Amino acid sequence: MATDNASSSTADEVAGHSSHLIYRNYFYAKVAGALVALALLIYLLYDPLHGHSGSTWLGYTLGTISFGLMVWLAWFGVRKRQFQTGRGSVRAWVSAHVYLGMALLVTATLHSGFHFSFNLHTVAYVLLCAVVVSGLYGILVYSILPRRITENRRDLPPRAMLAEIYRLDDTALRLADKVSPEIHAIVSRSVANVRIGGSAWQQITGRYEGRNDRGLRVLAEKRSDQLRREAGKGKALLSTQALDRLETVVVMADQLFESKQRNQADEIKRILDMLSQRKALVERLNHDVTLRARLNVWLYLHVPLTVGLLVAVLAHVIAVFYYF
Amino acid sequence: MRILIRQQAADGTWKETICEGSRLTLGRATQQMLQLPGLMVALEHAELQMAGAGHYRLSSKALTGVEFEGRTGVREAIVSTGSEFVLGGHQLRIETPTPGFDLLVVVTLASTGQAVSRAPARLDLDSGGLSKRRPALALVVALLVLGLLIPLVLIAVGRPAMLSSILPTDMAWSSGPVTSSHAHFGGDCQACHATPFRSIQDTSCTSCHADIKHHSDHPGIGDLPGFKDRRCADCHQEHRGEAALISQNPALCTGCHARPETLAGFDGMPPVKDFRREHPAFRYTVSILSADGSTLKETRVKAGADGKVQDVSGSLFPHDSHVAAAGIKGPNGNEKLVCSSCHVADTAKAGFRDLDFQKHCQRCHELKLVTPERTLELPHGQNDASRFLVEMFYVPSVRQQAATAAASEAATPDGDGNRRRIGDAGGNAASPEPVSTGPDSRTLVSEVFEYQVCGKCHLIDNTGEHPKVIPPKLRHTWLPAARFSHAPHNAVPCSDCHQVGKSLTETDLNLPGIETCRQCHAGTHDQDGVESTCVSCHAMHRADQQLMSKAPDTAAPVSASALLPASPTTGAAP
Amino acid sequence: MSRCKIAIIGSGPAGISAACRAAEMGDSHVLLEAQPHLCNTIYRYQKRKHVMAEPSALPLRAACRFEAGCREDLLARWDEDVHQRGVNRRLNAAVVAVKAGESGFLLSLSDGHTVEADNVVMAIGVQGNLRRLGCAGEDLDLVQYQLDDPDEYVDEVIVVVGAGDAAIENAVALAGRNEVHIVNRKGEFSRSKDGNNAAILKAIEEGRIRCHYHASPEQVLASAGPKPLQLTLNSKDGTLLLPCDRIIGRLGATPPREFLEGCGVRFTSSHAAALPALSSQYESSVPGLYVIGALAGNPLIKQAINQGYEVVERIARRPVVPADEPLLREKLAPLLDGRTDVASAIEKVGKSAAVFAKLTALQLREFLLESTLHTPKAGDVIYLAGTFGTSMFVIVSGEVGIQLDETGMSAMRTIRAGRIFGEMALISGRPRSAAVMATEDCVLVEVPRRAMLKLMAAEESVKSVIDQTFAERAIQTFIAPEADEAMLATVVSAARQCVFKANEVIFDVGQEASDIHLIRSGSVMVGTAEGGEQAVLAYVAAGQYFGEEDVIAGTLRTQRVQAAVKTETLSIPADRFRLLLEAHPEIHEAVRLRFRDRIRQRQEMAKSPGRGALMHFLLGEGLGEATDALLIDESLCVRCDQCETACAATHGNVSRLDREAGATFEGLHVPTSCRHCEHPHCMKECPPDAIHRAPNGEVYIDDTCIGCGNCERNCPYGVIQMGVGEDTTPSLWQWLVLGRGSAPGKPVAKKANKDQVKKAVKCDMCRGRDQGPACVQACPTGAAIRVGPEEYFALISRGDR
Repeated sequence: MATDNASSSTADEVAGHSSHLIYRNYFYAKVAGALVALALLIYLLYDPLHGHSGSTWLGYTLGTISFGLMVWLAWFGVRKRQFQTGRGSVRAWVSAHVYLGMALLVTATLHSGFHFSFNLHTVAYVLLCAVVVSGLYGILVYSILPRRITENRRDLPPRAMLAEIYRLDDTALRLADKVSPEIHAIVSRSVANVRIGGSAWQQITGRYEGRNDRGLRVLAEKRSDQLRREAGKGKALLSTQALDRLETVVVMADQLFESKQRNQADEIKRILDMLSQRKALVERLNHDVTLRARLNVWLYLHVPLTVGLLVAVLAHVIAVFYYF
Repeated sequence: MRILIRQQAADGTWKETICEGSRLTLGRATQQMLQLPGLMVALEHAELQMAGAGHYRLSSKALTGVEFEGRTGVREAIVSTGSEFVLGGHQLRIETPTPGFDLLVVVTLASTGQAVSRAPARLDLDSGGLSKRRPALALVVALLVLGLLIPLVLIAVGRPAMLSSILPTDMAWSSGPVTSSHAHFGGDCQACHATPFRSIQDTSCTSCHADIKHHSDHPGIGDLPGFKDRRCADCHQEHRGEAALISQNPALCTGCHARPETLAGFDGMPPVKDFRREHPAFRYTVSILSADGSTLKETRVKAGADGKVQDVSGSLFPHDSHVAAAGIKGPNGNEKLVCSSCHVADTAKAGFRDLDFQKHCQRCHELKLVTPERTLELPHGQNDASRFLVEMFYVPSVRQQAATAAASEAATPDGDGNRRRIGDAGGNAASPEPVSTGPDSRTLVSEVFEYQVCGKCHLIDNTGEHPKVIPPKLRHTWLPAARFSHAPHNAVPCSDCHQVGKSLTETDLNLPGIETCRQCHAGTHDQDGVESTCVSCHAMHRADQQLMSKAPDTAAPVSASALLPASPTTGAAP
Repeated sequence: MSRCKIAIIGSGPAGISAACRAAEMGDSHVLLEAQPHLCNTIYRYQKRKHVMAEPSALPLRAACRFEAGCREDLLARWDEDVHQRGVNRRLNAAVVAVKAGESGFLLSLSDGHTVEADNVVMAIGVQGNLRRLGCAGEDLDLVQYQLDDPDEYVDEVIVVVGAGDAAIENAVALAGRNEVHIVNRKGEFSRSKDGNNAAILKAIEEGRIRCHYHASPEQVLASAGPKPLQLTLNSKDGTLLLPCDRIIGRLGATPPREFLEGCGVRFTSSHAAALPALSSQYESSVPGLYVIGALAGNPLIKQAINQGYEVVERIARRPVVPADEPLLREKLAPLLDGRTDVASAIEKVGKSAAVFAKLTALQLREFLLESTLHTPKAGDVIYLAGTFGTSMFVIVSGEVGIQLDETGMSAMRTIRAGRIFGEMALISGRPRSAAVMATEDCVLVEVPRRAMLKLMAAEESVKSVIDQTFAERAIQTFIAPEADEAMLATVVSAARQCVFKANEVIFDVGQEASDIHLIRSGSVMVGTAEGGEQAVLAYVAAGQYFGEEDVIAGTLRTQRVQAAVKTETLSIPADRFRLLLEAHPEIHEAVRLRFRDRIRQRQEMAKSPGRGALMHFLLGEGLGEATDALLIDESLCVRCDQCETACAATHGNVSRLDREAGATFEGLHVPTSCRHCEHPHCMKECPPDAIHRAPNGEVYIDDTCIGCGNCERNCPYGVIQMGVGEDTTPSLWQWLVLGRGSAPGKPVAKKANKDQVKKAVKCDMCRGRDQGPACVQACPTGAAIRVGPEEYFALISRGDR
């Protein structure tokens, strides 16, 4: 894996394989570091007549640098889509984007000279902070979640999962149709009630409408009633608590249907298997959706805020020079 | 009822079925009147029954029910002509039946034949309802309108009073609160920011601060490097809190004054870097007696080698004897004087109340001439009136000179220097000695002025036709270019700075030197001491204050003896 | 009982052209077509399919019209031509036998009639005749023998008859939307590929398809019932009535070769791809029987049409210059010094080299048509080492030198006129092993890969010559550079060629170490079989040899070696190998060094089985035969699909890779994208020969693609799609700011218009793009990498990823 420097650097030579974070052995990290260090140094050494602010020469310099950085960082959104004309590898751009983006927070703060109040300028600064913070979240999840996604998928891409779910539904329905109308009704309801994915909020929180095992429980109840009747004595074979937990239902159903006197038993057993399989798959797919949602949600803050930031900074500059 | 069913076949052609029955049964089974394919359809899924004109009861046998009016799993519903419902992926619509029929069902959308028909799963955030573009757009519009457009418009059209409270004004652009002294401008940015995109001009300041003075009367000061085309705003920055408007930063001054030698127009000025580390000794504004001894003139001097400064105020007041620990003889015995006996802090002004003869001196120093016949009291501060009184006082007594001659022999002034109280009738009637030199009113007057009364506390001017008292110069401050207030120093006993106890001559000016100040006051570089910047003491160009002028001062400090005429005692030698 | 001069069997392009010409010139003729319509193959194309007119350079000479256009127009035009020329055609006249008598031929038709003719022109193509149900009602309308578009049928009851791959694929495709029955004569699906087999069994098991085993159709009746057809099946448990909407017969076809050989036509070899032996006049070993068109080895329509014209002219003894004459004249210009004509020039070439010795004039002619003639001056470099080139060179005159060491032209092995070079790359599919330059002015024939393979398949002699040369050169290059001719000869003579299927075990632990293997093509994985579970220790690519450790050590085999892909090796007996070593101490030394670090490397690998497993996985994913593959490190991949979008954006908005598809192992993902195989499966069966390999390895498809879809079917990794590229790129800013138009990489056109030809698209490694492959360039996190197997396996064995 390209997560530790040593391996990546060797891999780099051979396969150009290293993460954006350690691209060219932290080249852009060093650049950003140097920038920050320089800015801080000057800030500490230089003591303006009226205290630090945006209107000292240092302030103007830092302001200009920050503004330039900001525009350049935002340009990444365009660059990464210039597939034909774009120069340089996007990985390099990301690397620079990440580190210089962090540096921006410092330069901009020093530019402000820590003068904050309720005004347009502070709004711009707050936006900047929000953008950087969302970006930091991005770095974090980008380094954590991909592995989790891979683990959860277990070599089955979402498309395949979806197809498999649908196939299981179809098959279950077909089998159920052979067995009896009532079973078919229950299965078809179970199928109709499957919920895959959901609203953005559900995706992020990972709490989806869990309606997809109700039909299954009803089915299991029906079978137990039937067996109860057959057994002739009214002792309940199924507690509702047991029914609440799907796996138990399946296991139990399997045991119940060992007796082959009913030729449908097998079919129903298979239907149960399929539905439980289906349920497991749905959960896995939903988890995948959640993971991907969490992997990407920050972009839905980062990008709009960036656009807003650019406008805010524009307004800031105009306002400042309007009342020069 | 007679039922007409319109159904679209897989090849797209419409086929119509007509059937009779009490109800319309829908399902996948072959015996159903309306047979619908697809495994989401139960064999006997639902049925439609008449329920009044144009209304039908839809009841579903299947657990899945139907989708009707946006709700899924509907089992019972009243549908009417025009209403649509979805059954196992098939879309059905009830239409107004053609004549001869009671019900017309149109299967508008046949299921694709796939066993299960589903709503598309929302598997990513975009389909989950998130967007990047819309919020971005909203943000852009909001910021542009609120942050830029409305303020600009309001600037252009002027702010209607009632709106300004709700609408964002150009106050949103203010980089910080204005100082209290300018607070009265309120939100009126144009008051100072006269022209857009142009830095604030001095006219904006001088329109109010009209009579502002420059910080020095140096003729070419405007052209000095530090001041050449500088704007007020370069030194006085608004929106930065109180401190910034009058910057405490010594660099503002030391920028030039630290290296005067290198700058034109600073010739002969001492370098100033830091109050404690490099600041010239104080130069005091004091008075000295003119060469002919007729007037006092003002001058600026440095402290002498002994650290003492002489100021000929014109009044002969020895501090040491007055505040002597033993006390001093008063009208009724010995009494003890302290500083505050005479120097009373003036709450109105920074300094002390004026010293006043009636208040502070008269109790002990009465201006009386006593003769056997009567006693005469001279008015204070009135030369001519006093002289006239003296002349009048002596005329009648001229006749009986001879008669008192013997007595006067006995009454010689005691030569031990012990001052005899003026007007003290004493054991013998006062017979003015000069009279003996010949009764002449002029001598009488000068006798009274120089020796008997005035001369005791005042310097006398003898250059004129008549002797007269030189009006004393009692100052409020000797360091006019510095602001000093006793108020913050109350905690310290006076004697820490003013060592009056040790002052030997009346002309001792008991002001502390810079060293004394430095004991507590550091500049800006040292941490041990009160941080004192330039403006802590020196005010720049303020209308009500004297300029920091470089007025010429006497080269060398003068000694006390040189300041005074011969003391009355020596002068009394015959 | 009619008799005519020319009987033309098959009304394909060739047949129609021949018939039209004959009709035009008034030669008595008959055009026999088995189907009720002309030109069955094209007739069976899906509707409105665009038909191309490649090769564009070849001039058309025919009595019927032909230009690129859609199927319908083409057929209409030919029907018109046939009608206008007054062609004497007989439809539904399937020829079952052709008997050659002294007075011409006797053709017997399926309907019992016979036809007599002086000459027979076989233009039946390679499709062969589809087998019918073989029962009453087999010709009813709703009984069909092919399936163009499964999606046409919805909610129908469809019976598929047959158990081959075609039948299974159709049945599976139809299932889901229809009720599908499949009729299998046997009790299992034995004739089908594993994949299809699994698919059908699954479908049956899930009840999506009803299977009737041990059943065969007895009769088909058109019924008036709810279902238009009624199929009577004769199964082992009695007869079964099956009402259905349609029946699809997929019973395979009788290959034309049987038929031809039945007529006494001799083929050049037993090889499946072999062609009938033909004269330059297209005349077969049976005098008077001519073979033209695809069956004569010309898959393209235009060629076939021209041949149809020529063959008629020849039969009618009318002087005719082949249509390709001008092309050849141009090609052979250096050889023709004005006087000599093309024919003699061709002859000259034929004589010049041993390879061509046994070729017929026609073969030579076609073969030269495809190859190019070079005349490099002395000192010209012909190719450099390390470049990819799959063509082979024949020296007509002059001399070339092979550079043996990288240092320079110092050590040079000369190759004399009449010999060949470049065969190594041709066989191994790997980059050129050494540079070659002309040591004196020479004339070279460069033979493209496909022409060469065709020839090797057709002519045993050609193959043997090439193999011989390869063996010598390979041993010389890779084992014993210093060995002299004599020594080589002894080794080569004993060397034996072996072919192994993918995953076939070449030798196993504990076997006698009787030989070493030099890999001709393909690659092998060396491993141990501890616990029966395969652990790969090393990957050996073509051009290298393996198995020498035990030979040297004199022990039994200590490893199991398995073919990673279809692999050809040259097995050199142990004794000869030892002989080499003894004779050449320097070789001995070299081998000893190799031996040492191999052992070291294997111990390295043995230490961490994980790597072995990973290697095994990758080889399983076909990296064994790859030259450059796209891998994704899933620990870095943020699933942003930049790679796909970049690919689409740079390739007419059609992505050539599918990121999500493909297997993953230990976080290493092999997406569905071209691996640029050493021996690209897509290259075989490309009618216009539109797939090439560029010098730096990428396999690409040029514009001459006719969209036949062969490559798509042939690619085992499913990386080729048929798509319509757009040349308009969506406006980025419009989308970015206003959200108008389509995003970058998304198709601009709302719906692809029907007339546009779907051409095969595949990864071309962004050739001609100085930024390198777009997918890698656009990857934001560096998860996507492109690597060749060797460097990557080297990495793995070093323990890196």
